[in-house]
Amino acid sequence: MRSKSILQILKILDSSHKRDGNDSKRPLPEFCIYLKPYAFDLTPDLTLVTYNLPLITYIMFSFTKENLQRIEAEKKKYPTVESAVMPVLWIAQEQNGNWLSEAAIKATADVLDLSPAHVIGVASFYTMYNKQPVGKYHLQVCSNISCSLLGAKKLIHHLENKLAITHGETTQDGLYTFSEVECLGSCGTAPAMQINDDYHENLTIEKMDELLKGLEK
Amino acid sequence: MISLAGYEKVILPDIPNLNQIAVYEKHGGYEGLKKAVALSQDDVINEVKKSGLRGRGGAGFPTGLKWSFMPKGDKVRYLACNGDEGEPGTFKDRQIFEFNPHLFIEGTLIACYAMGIKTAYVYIRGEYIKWINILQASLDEAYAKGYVGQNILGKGFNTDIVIHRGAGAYICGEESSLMNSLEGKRPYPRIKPPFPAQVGLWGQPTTINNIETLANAAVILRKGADWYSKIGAEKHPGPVLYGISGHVNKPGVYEGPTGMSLKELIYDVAGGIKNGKKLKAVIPGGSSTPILTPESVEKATMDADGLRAVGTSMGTAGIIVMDEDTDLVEALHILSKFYHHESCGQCTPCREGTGWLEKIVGKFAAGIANQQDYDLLLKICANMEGRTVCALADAAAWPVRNTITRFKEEFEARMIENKNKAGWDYSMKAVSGV
Ligand SMILES: Cc1cc2nc3c(=O)[nH]c(=O)nc-3n(C[C@H](O)[C@H](O)[C@H](O)COP(=O)(O)O)c2cc1C
Ligand code: SF4
Ligand code: FES
Repeated sequence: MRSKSILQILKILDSSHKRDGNDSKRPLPEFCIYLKPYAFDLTPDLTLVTYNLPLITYIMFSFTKENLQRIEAEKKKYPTVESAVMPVLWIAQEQNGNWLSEAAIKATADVLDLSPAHVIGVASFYTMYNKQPVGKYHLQVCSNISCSLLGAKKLIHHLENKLAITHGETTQDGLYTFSEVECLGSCGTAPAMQINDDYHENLTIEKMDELLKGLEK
Repeated sequence: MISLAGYEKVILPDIPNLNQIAVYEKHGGYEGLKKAVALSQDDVINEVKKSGLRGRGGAGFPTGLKWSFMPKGDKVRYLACNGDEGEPGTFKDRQIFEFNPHLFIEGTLIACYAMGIKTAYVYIRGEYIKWINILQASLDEAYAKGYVGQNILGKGFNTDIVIHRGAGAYICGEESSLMNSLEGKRPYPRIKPPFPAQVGLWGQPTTINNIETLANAAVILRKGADWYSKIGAEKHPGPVLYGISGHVNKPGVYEGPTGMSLKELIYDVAGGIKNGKKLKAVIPGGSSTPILTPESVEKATMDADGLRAVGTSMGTAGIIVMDEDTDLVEALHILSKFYHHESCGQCTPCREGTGWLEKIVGKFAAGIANQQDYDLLLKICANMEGRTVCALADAAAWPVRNTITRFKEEFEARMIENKNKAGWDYSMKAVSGV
């Protein structure tokens, strides 16, 4: 059962709004994002209600002072400011809890003096820029040829059954997101997966269970 | 016959902590660079030409010749080092980053000196954050020691090396897509001509080389072109990193001379087929290269000519081995799905063609295809090959064309006409599994 009520969600949003040092009584901020319902664990009926009428929420995003300095350093590495868009998107994603909200994209565009449409165009091309929230642990299992020859499909079935999610989904507790990914460059140590940035290779079902157990703690 | 016996490793030698600059220097590190800066720029290019080095990124283009395409004069120019390493079955550049990063840095500096380049960008796939950090640490050391930066070795030549992290797109390994990616644009491949040596990064002359290619350049300058050109196959010489994966006992990256027999690599170097099974098929150079039957594997040597003779190519030397139990239809389906996913969508034959290839190979996987589907696959391949902006369409079509013709029986057995003969039971899942 999906559990959180709409009230709880609004509370979460409200508190993050406040944490950002904003006055919560301010009118609706200009940055809005459309959240896929499952990202916030809506009850099934609410999912139905909100599916066609996306829940409009407001999550503020502005770069921290430290990150603004990092961005300046990135800009200096290239002859044009536009070229810094990928490194700045990485910084934005890192600051925003491993995904890019529309607000984060807009902030990226602003800081580089680019149009948001251009930045969305770039961000949407790449699989590693997450366009929706991901869990605390992003399990990225390779399903390409060398891994599949050594049982990647079995690992994937096991993981999907165990966590009750499929490609691109997040568990209700927000802990795990599972993605099937293309070749990770670990074909010689297949099957392989990445948990967030870390590689785990020569996987077996037992090894995977061990790993997951380690994460829960 | 060329064999591993007596071969001395130079790209990935068994020296611990070679990623530390002091250790690297103790083993001849940066000697190649010192020799290079004592020569004229043209002499360095000629040395690389003489060595016979050919690119290790997939296309096998002669490196010295590529360098000589860069125009003279003092126009700003760039080097792009290709560490995108996205080709399934390829996992060699990351070994260089991890175990011998300075060799790559040294090769990059030599290339920059030879072509008068002041900035080199190293494009590394986003997943490789661990190796990006390793390379950055080595790069910092090299800066501190005065090998990179201003007035290198007191010779008044300046070069900066900048690492750029990709974000998960196979197409960014294609050189012109890589340039658009670096420029912060949507990374669509560019129409050629103009070629990068005329109009490359930010409109300036640019050379693109693979990581392993640049590491080889450092070896050439250190040991001399004469020494280098005697290693391996005469027309395609040098050390090469073979990546062996799939159903073998000891998968991994192995350094050896070019021109080794594929059989030796599979049965001796990689310890033979797992569980004593028989061989069914081998993809010799990364997923885009045409697949080989066991009869061809018997004859094949790992160099351009040797592989052309059996109707395939060297690619990235990523050897994917499949045993007798492998479902080749499913294997091809995985590859077709991959190319469909990675097509940038710019050209109609590729955007539509990769989608249809995946769908129709999926029909075979599900056992609901017929003879017309088989013919249609060949027709789609013909409509993709050589008709697009970049070579991804060819890379998608070749595996299909070659797998379905060289292993025709496997595909015929999955046709609906042969349902009773084969006694199959395949679910619909494969068709819908996008
Ligand atoms: C779809 C596609 C993907 C490619 N991916 C890579 C790659 O990941 N790494 C690489 O070095 N070359 C890749 N290449 C080849 C490059 O376009 C280019 O030929 C190569 O980097 C040149 O370097 P070299 O001359 O040193 O081999 C790719 C080519 C195509 C068509
Ligand atoms: S061939 Fe495919 S990947 Fe290459 S430019 Fe055309 S559509 Fe894009
Ligand atoms: S095929 Fe899985 S890492 Fe290369």
